[in-house]
Amino acid sequence: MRIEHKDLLNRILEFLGGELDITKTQFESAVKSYQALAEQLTKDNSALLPYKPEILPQGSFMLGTMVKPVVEGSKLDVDLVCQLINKNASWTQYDLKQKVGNQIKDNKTYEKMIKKPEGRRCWTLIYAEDSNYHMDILPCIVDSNYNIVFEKSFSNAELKDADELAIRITDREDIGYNYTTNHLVWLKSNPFGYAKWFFRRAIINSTRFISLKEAIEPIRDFDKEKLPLQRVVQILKRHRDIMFSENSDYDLDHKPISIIITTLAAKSYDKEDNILDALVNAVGNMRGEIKEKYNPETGKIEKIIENPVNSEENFADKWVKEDKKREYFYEWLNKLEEDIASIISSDGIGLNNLQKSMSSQFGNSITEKAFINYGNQNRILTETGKRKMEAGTGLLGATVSGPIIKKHDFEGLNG
Amino acid sequence: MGSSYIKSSKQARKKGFSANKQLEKIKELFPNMKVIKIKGNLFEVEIKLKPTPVSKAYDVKICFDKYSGVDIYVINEKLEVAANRKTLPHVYSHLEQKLCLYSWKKRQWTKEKLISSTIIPWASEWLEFYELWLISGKWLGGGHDEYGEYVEKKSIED
Repeated sequence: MRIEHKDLLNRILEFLGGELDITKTQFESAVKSYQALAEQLTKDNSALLPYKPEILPQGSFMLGTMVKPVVEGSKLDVDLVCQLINKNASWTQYDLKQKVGNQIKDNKTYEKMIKKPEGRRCWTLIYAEDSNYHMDILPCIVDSNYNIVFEKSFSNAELKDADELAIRITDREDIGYNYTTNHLVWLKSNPFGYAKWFFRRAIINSTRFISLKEAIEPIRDFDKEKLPLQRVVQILKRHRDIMFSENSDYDLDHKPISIIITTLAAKSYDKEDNILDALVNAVGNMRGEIKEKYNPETGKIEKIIENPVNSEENFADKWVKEDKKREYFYEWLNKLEEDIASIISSDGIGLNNLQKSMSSQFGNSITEKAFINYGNQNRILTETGKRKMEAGTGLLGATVSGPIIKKHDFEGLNG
Repeated sequence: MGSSYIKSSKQARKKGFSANKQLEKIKELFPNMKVIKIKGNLFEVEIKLKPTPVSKAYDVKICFDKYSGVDIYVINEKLEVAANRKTLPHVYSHLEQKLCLYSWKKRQWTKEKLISSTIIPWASEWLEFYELWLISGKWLGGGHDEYGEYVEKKSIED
């Protein structure tokens, strides 16, 4: 593949990635909303106050892998944790969940917004039409005092300290939901350990090291450039969202889940410094990152996608009982491999046909915008005297050898 | 002496490049060009242009006449038209696929300029922006406004 071909695809994918981001307004309004929620939880009358409640983003909002919904105007999910450093010794899981819920509902506005019935592990707030998101709030208690770990940069230390970032959560389906007061036996989760792992995979030599604290900082710079791995995850999630869209024939309850896509992509990623190479290599290696294990109880071989910060957790555990989930995943991966291969073999098909092919993969509106941005950028390159035409072929570009394209105006019969 | 120098320079500029000189320069850039016709002050040649690695390769005919100038055509295929448009953008003739590449008024091309370093790169750009135009019917290459969109925009702003 010619370097110019790679550059072209890379630029299109960069623009596509940019179109997948939620808008700055949406982002800032979401941040504002969860800061307001944090204020509610730390009010003077709050029963949680002694335990220093904090609202922190988790999931794709923290990882920087959130994607615009396919149907414009549909709601985004913003995942938050409501984290306490300790609790009243007599509180059960039920108590913690209710204390957090009550403190939220103490505010009349939030009381109206809270989703009923409550979730298995979360409280959900549904924001008004113009906000376009809901927030899942996960009540939890930290395992140990890990503020120290937060301060550490991703560059230092091994992942061994990831476990120190674990939190304990409540689960209505847990047998001890109404009884167990020792939170160290509650269900363990580790969204921040996972984030630490993810950013360690994502950061490339050319990027400065960021700390986990920075990644979860409520006030972050929206415009900060995305890392190739973050863009790849966004592109893969978008591909999934288009394939499993409302008007597809699939049962959407079984579509591949984001944590599986994110984990496999991050495991496959090899610090490529551009989106195209990162995408091609990630897609090419994802299949191999799914391990198999014989289960003596069932006599069957099971697929394993290990949680990188908790080897006991298999993100694909539901595939055992729900064949559709596994089937859908492999159907998606097959299509993804084919689709990416078709992008690579686009030599001579016509820019319009490349757009057509990509729009079936990622949606027409954002793909069209990506190509418009690409065209506009080319026009500006010519206008500023930065484009040349290759002798013998007519190929246009900044690095080819041939005459510089002089400034000119396309005219027409009408002008 | 000074005045005679100025005079001859003026004459040279007025005369412009000969057909031979223009042809020689095109051949330098495109050694594979096909000569269709050469006769005195005029020639017709055909070259292949592929503006980006993803783009198709197009056959382009360059017709030069020292007295009437240069005309450019896309040949050997009927170009598609964007779904939301009826005719090709920036052409003198839709049927002939005769391209409109520069402003006469601004004298962006005159007989004193080489086809190889102006018209041909512009034709390649036309093909690139044409493929992008097929996507949405929007011309992104700049130049005069084909669809009165500036006017619309202005009136909205006003």
